[in-house]
Amino acid sequence: AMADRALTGMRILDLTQFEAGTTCTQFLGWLGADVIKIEPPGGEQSRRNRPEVPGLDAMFFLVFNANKRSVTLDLKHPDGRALFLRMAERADVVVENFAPGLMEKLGLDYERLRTVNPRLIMARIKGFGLSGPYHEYKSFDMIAQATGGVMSVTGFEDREPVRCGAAIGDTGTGIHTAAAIMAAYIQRQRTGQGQLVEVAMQEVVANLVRGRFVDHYRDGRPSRRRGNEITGGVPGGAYPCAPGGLNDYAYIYVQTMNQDMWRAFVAAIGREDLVADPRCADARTRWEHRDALNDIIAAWTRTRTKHEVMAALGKAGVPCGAVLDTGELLDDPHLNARGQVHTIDHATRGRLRLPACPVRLSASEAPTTPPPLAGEHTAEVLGEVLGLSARDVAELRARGLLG
Amino acid sequence: MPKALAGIRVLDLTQYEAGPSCTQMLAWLGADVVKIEPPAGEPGRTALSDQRGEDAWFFLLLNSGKKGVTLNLKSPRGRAMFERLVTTADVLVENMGPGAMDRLGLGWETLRRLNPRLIAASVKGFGGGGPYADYKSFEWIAQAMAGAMSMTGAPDGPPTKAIGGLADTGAGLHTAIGILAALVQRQATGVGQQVEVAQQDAVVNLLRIHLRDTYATGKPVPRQGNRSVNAAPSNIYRCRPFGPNDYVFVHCATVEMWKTLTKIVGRPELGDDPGYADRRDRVKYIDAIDDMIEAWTEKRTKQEALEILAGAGVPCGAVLDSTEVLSDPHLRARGMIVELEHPRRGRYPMPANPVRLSDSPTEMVRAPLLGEHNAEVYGALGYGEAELDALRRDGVI
Repeated sequence: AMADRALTGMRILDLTQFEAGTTCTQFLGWLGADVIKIEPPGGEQSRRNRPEVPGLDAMFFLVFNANKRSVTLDLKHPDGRALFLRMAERADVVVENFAPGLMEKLGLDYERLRTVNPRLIMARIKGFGLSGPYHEYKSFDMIAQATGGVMSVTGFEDREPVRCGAAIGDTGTGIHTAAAIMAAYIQRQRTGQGQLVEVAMQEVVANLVRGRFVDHYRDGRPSRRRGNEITGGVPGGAYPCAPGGLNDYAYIYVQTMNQDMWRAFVAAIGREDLVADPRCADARTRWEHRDALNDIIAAWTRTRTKHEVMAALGKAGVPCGAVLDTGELLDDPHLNARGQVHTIDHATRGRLRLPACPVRLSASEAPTTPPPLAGEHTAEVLGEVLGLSARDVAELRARGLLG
Repeated sequence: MPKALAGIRVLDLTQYEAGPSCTQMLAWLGADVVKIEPPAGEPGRTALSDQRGEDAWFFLLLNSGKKGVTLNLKSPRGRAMFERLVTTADVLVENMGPGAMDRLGLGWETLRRLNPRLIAASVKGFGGGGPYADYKSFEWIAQAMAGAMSMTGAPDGPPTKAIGGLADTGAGLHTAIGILAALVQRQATGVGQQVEVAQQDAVVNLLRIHLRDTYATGKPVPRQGNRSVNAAPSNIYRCRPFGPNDYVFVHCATVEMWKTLTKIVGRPELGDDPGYADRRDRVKYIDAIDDMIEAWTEKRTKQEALEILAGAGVPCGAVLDSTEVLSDPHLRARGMIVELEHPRRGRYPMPANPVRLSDSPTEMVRAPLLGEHNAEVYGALGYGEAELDALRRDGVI
């Protein structure tokens, strides 16, 4: 039931577009907030970002906009902005990730919003933040990855820096922002006052990669790219599996300080003889003989599929992960058994499998509802929030304010 | 100083990264985080240190703003003290191996009986339920099992791990979200609940964007190195003096960005050519475009290229290494990198809180020494000096 969700009663005006902002509000929607996505007439740009079926909402949009209602409203029109401000009076949170300066140009910066609703929490996502020498620079996921340090340590030592496939600059930022909004909401329950929340994508990436700054402190030198290897770990890396396709690898790691785990590993691969082998006395000697030992390990993995390798080692208590591609991910039995891959019925795109809410609360269900069509809830929301009648809405529509 | 989470007490049983990153964020937001470690210290403090007996840098990066106490949860007296702490707490966070809390006799039912308002959060590799529930995990395993490794790396190379804490710090932040939501819900219901995050799920969430091509084609998303199949230019370009990280990333999304770029690199006619107006159409000329841009960047350092391109509105990022991140003038100017003083390690630069709340400023306080706050925390429970000495002698704390 709706009343049983963590953020029931939190009303969010969602001005976000593309990814960094939309992931934030989708998350809050899963947790029970009433997310009202306010889009320009015709819909937010990412609905048309490489649509797989011309004229229908793009998958790009669909993976980030579940659990929201959609209202179309022209913020470039002064009357559209006035309507938005009236809604802001009745909202708890506004989230935006426009290019630097746009909200100011619209006259919708925090100072303005605060005057209409001092309880409002306004969250602003920017590539480089609202201050500092780079604050006017534009950003994207990979720009944040480059300037946040992740790219410099990803890839092989003898090759160029590599972008991390996962969108840590964009979705990573959305997650940080969601946390900040809830903290501000908790604070408001004591103080009665809203506040400004600001998150910069470059800083989010630096936060995610902080654990890899260790080399800097140790040697005063930049952390290097090391491919898939874990210094000192044998096994430690991605080992090739049958039938030798592009993603037929299993990542295996035996903790260097854990000799029991090594014994479990050699038993699982049928090489108990290695226990007495002087090359395998401890992690240090294994590392010295890593080429020969990795060949032995790869000889075992190559004759098995990655799923067989994972099942054998996982059951033996050895950390091992099959390198799943995106198709295998949607089919993965574990994710499906846990309901993490969720099937929705979309009005125009039909049945779709979407990754569901990655956080489980025992007392707050997080169903995934279909992403709305552009403007699907305009009349409903304007009636509910501002008390506008069907006639009022029709009039606004006739004036072109709602698209 | 006002704090968003003032008055919220967190008992922190976490270790290594996935848990500590969660509780560090809660501490930054103002919670009173009490890190409870075994008398020898948690493994992230000790096992990962570059100097025997000194706290690891790894630990210092992930445990700022917390109080540190020691406690032997396996001893009956330690267990009793822990139960008293539970009655004073709002949140408990742990990321032990599967089943470890139950083996300690600290399963959810026990915790809930001690304190019905408690929110108990767990970070696990694969989460409860499902065929992989008992499998061990850590960063790279979760990256492999969530698709991240399959889409990182060169097209002609193997799957490659991304060196950011996607599964560790990523899962920690997801857990922080769950805890905050549960705190909000508790204000309505008066009771706590369980929060669970699986690393595999958290990484899937971080890369959901890339599933779109799989929906369209039914095929796996390929590795593309730094290029994009949907846009050109979108790549890294070499800069002077050609060190391992002397590159800039340049990405042109709109035709305006493309026009500006072509003027800067001295090829304005391409900016006006309608055949080059759409970023997808430009993919046809990707090699020539990349050569054109690199011919320009090769004459400049990455900082010069950044200033010129980004300053003109072309999305551009210098590929900063970890040392450059810690000294970056922008991050320093914004207070994202701050200097902390440690009694044994001296001064060190520390990445601060990437989340800014206007009415809850983040105070950066170094990670605690082992057991640094034993007297303060246990003193508040009523333990006197003599009792604490005895507990220390008996190895309970």
